[in-house]
Amino acid sequence: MMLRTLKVLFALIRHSMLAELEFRINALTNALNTVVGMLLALYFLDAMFSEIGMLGGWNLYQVLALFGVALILEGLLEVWLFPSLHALSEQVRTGDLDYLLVRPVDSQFLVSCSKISLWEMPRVLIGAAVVIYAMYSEGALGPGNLMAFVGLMVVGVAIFYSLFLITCTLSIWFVKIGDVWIISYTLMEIARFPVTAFPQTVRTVLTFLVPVYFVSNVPVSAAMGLVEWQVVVGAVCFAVAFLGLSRVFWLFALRSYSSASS
Amino acid sequence: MATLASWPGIARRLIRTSVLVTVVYRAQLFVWLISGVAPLFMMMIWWELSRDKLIGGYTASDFVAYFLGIYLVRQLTAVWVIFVLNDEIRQGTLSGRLLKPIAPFWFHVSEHLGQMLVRAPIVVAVFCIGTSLFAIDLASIAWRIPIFLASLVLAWIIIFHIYYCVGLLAFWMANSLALDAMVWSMYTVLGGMLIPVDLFPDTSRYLVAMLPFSASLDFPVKVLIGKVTGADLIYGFAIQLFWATVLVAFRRGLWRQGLKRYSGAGI
Amino acid sequence: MSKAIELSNISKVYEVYRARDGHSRSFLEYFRREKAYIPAVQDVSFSINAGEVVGFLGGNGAGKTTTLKMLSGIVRPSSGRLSVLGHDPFKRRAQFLKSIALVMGQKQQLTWDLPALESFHLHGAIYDIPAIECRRRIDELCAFLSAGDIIRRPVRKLSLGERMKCELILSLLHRPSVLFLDEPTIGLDLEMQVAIRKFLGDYNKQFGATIILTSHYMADIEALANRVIVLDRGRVVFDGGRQALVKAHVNERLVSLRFSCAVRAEDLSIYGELINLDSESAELLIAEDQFASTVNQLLTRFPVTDISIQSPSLEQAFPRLLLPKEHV
Repeated sequence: MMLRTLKVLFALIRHSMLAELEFRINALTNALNTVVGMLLALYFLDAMFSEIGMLGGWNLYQVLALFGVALILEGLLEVWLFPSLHALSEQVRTGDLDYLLVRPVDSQFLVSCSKISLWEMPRVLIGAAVVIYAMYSEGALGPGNLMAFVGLMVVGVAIFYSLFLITCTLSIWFVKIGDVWIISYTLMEIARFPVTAFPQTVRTVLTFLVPVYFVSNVPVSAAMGLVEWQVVVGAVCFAVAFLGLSRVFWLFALRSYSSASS
Repeated sequence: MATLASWPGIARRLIRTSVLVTVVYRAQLFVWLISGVAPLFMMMIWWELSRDKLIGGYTASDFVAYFLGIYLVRQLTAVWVIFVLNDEIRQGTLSGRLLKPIAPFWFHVSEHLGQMLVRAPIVVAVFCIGTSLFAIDLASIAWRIPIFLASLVLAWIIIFHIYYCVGLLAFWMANSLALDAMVWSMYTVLGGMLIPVDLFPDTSRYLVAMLPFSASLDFPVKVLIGKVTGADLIYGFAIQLFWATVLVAFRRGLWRQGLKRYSGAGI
Repeated sequence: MSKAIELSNISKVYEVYRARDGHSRSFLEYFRREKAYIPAVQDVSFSINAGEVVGFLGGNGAGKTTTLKMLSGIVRPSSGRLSVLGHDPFKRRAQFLKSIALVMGQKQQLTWDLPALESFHLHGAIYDIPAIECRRRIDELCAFLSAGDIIRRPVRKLSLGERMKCELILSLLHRPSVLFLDEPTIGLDLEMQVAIRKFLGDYNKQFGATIILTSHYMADIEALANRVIVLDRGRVVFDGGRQALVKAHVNERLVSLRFSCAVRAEDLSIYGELINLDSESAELLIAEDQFASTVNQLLTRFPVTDISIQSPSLEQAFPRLLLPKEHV
């Protein structure tokens, strides 16, 4: 079952990649843009931290790691989430969703992975490199921390994916809701900063309502070897809850779609 | 070519059309509204940091006023012409525009102005609410409105032309949109969206202040909140005028060259 | 003969929101909308044996597409029982989905910028067809449809007919036992329509697949389906043999005659309804019973140089099936 899912996934990726022309140029420009953006971000951080000592209890390298994580998340958005899930609103409008529903593969899986653009991958890789550099500068680079980082990154991505899926699923009812993706992009900009840098009320919102805390702050704490087990448990619980919620919502939306489509 | 006498009438019509289009296609509004929120989060961060001390000569009140101003100016000078140009050039719909007795440039300008007229009240309202929430003196800001508007107009011309020139590169490049991300990064960091330009290290501050990015964002904001006076004020306007003239000339040159290539290749 | 498809009292009612006066002018109108219920399918029952080819006929909005979508599991019926190959389609079990195929003439499944061959490979992965077997089936179906090298060209460069051929190959790669075709020949030129009809007929004979097809072209139905189900405003108004439908509603034939010299209208009109008459030709509608003897008399009593007789067709029968109700 798992093998078959992987086979289908590889087939989907290969198919998506072939369908887009100018692969190499796109990958190059993507890498260039990311590097320039990162250099500018470093310049900004240097300027900021020369005026202040700590930001919400975090130092420059820790915040740099946050920037790296934001890059990874942005990259995943561009490589995977946006091409596949955002296309849902268009598929609902044209009726192409019908064809996806007739396939003998789980509909949520197909909708989530229908199109994958691997040339935005440089952003993910550069983001990972930034995190590793930050870990190194903090003297925190080690196998234990790396594993903790990857594990909690996966948890964070699971939460992020669920949120994105829920917002895109709304387009089954409100076809014009196609612009909700901008919320995710704006959240990326906020995720670059530690939640503790914000005033208390905003902190609560960013932890529980829109879990930026679990998506970006927690993986970085893990990378720096500073995370407590209670937080890890909390993150995993959040991820499971959000994944479950998005699944239930998706199935509910399908039932609604099949009652309403003509 | 349309006569000078008919310009006001045409301009009014174009802008009116754009306003109507904005009202009907309310969708784009959402993206613009939400994406503008980022400076407000920066405001919160800097406010937290400076609650009990000065940072780089800015008080907490200054930071709030500054970032609210960034929000205002950024929203009012939002430019999307790079996408329009890319579409029109790559898909050949530019030809339709070229047939009209008015240069396509003015269509693009009026589209933007029309949309801004609709969006301006919202942004101004947010700004006013924000300033009153943080007890910032709106009265003194009001005094500076005339001079602020002058810097705002120049700022708009600068940023519009930066994106216009990059958009015109579509005459030569298959994917000039890739440059949009780079321009955006530079505009964000060097324009003052994350940190006021005054807080950049002394060694490089002068350089940043001379770039068109700070001229189109940081400077008008400082004018509005009164953070720049006297010689610095004149210097800032000089930089704005410099970039405005240079970019307009650059745009016209690119346009001429690009058109030659466009009609030659029969795209 | 096993039953491939069974429907009992199937109904489908859509809930639609309508603004009070038909125009959603303002944001507030959104909250004052009325709910309207549109019955798309009402109390439909029929069963189809494995290997049958059935044609669904009906005007626009008669419920044909909705029925097909219910049969393929995309739309859930409001009431009634429905079984395809022993499964409840709406449960969308993998085993069920692997045995059906849905082809919609107006919507395409192939990836636009890639050669159809790439879409075939992806389809093979999704339907779990081993690579070697997949290639073999592609070659086989291409031979069947004479679609040799078009599968290697990007789909956007193909003509409508070539695209349809590729769509059919794609849909048949996994050897479905039931095929749902929604207007497969729409927009195609005559030659392509004939090729596709022949292909579907051959496919049915060779693999015994059950085929349900909807079409606005009577020629499609006449070429492929011996059984016809006619839907009108969501209800089944006819379910039976194609010939029976024609016989029930068409009881005269159009005969065209050419003469060597002028003939008088009064002389001709005793034999049937005179449609057209000019100096050397005439068109006559002759009643079905006693048809042969009437023609015999025409040939003996008039200087006929040429005669052509039109067989009663579905084209004539179909509107008559629906028309009386329109006028009620």
